[in-house]
Amino acid sequence: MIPLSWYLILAAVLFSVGMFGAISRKNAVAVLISIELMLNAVNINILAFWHYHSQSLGYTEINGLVFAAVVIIAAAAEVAIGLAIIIAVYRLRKTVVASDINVLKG
Amino acid sequence: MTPLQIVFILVSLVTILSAIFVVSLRKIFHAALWLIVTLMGVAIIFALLEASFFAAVQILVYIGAIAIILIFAIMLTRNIMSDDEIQINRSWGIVMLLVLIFAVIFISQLSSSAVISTTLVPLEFQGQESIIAFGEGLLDPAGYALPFELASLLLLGALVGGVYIAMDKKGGENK
Repeated sequence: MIPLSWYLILAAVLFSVGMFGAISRKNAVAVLISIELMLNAVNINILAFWHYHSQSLGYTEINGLVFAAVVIIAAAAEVAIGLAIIIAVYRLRKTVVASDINVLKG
Repeated sequence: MTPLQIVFILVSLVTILSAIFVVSLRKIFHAALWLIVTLMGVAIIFALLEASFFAAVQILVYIGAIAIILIFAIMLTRNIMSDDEIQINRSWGIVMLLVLIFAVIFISQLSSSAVISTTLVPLEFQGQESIIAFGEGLLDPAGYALPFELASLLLLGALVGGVYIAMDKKGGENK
């Protein structure tokens, strides 16, 4: 008997915390961790609306489940590629500070 | 207050508190460990939403794979950034202001809309019915068979690309 808005407020707070981390952290690995927090908040939102839609339809609605699965798959791929890039940059430049990685800067 | 609501409030408080630790702790290794607590809280939220498959996937994929791979990367790059250094950049005040404005706008919009009064009741169907429907939908050519196959291609591309990017192309001096 939990209101739908509680889930949405929890997701909004979690997304805001993750956004703060993603913009303000120096370490590139910490930026990736914060992006994971934001993706988790999105998944809470998707599954809350999936539950709401299923209960109002009366049968299982699979679109929301597929969306949540795609978010998890994209998060896994993103973390693998992101960490590979961080390790390649670390080998080249000996730094993991995001603002020091400025080779492309004009 | 029903017991379910009390469980929800406790779990969400733990989740938000550990998320704040994740973005604010100086020791990046401790931040990664707090991330595991946050992911566990989100898994409990999924279980409360009756998405049992996603609660299991959250524990398997996020805690079992993503958190561990993040800890690997932290340990590989650990000696570069010392733990005593300030871990957030100079403009964190502006960032916090923007994030607070975002959160206030979102929550106030939410509480003024009609969605505030709807409650989630337990679903009528019991057992594994939603998981069976999910699996059939993923393999149904008229449903989500194509996105399912594309997702496997995406994962394969990420695997090959990750190996290629992280490979030592100069042959390596420490062979």
